[in-house]
Amino acid sequence: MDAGGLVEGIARVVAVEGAVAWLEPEVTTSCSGCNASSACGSPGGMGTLTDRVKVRRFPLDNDQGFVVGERVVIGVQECALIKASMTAYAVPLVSMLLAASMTQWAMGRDAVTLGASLMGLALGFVVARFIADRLRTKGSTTLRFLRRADAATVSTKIHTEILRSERCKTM
Amino acid sequence: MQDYVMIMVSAVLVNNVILSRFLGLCSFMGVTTRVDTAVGMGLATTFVITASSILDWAVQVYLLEPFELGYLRTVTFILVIAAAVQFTELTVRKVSPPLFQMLGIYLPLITTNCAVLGVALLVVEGKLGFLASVLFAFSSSLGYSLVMVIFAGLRERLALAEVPPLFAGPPIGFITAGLLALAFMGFSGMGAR
Repeated sequence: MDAGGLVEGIARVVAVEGAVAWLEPEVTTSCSGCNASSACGSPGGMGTLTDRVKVRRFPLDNDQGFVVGERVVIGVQECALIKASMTAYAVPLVSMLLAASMTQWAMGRDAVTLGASLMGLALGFVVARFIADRLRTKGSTTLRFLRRADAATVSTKIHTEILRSERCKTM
Repeated sequence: MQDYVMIMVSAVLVNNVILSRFLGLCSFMGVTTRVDTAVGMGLATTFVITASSILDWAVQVYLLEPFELGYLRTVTFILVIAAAVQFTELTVRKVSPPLFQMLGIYLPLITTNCAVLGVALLVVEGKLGFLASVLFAFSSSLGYSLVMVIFAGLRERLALAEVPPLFAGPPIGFITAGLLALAFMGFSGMGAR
């Protein structure tokens, strides 16, 4: 899946509005193989698995002439994915731990430390939002079109067949 | 200060959540085929374990213990964890939409990760103070992430290696996991001090 520092995934074109195509990522976890996936999930909130995929719908420039139902391979820089993960999770956590440690050292009371850690968490989210906005402005976390998925599948199949035949020869 | 350091070292290396306590094995085998997804899953789980442990500690100390409702502990903790995951999902969607588009599907899986409930129960069983509990939960989840990333790296190499057909796929993965657990047993001497 990974090629040259890019994280790849498959998405399906669900709508085309002029110069913009709307895509939904294909679910590749074990959830997708379950017969109950369309009804699975909590009522309210994010809802079922199908609802979750709809929520993750994203736009892409339609300069490749996409048609509805087409499967395409999209990608993002591997370092961008890690940066985004660090921003969303690590920054609030570090902020919370710092607030908790400093308050415990200064006050020494659990209830106050609990309150301070929750405030630190909230502050961390604000900082994370700021950093995420900067990353988005730079465009480093933008998903990019790489190729059409069917061609990729064919090439993978051919590659697998070659490997199998070579393995058979050696056995 | 030394106590806190010992708690952290012990939770990360000596009593590792995955390799010593055997919690979270489903995600350990399921999401470690690529390093990048393992990093994303590890960080998300670290966040959820730490946040839910704080809430669970507060629920235990200020609600369950004073009202002698200890028998409701497991049910209450599951509810708190589900709420924490939902909150995390909404926050990530708001804070980092690209990350949500890329990794959002993994977040609901964390709710059913037994490592989250396991660490919360261990925190309460330990009867530690608030900061010690937070550091224990954070370190345990850090140990979880560390093993996830190491194992994902090994599996990426295994995918390119010549493996006998009988062992290809999950079998060689389990053998590698066993060897990794043996390697981590080397840290067990540190707990005696």
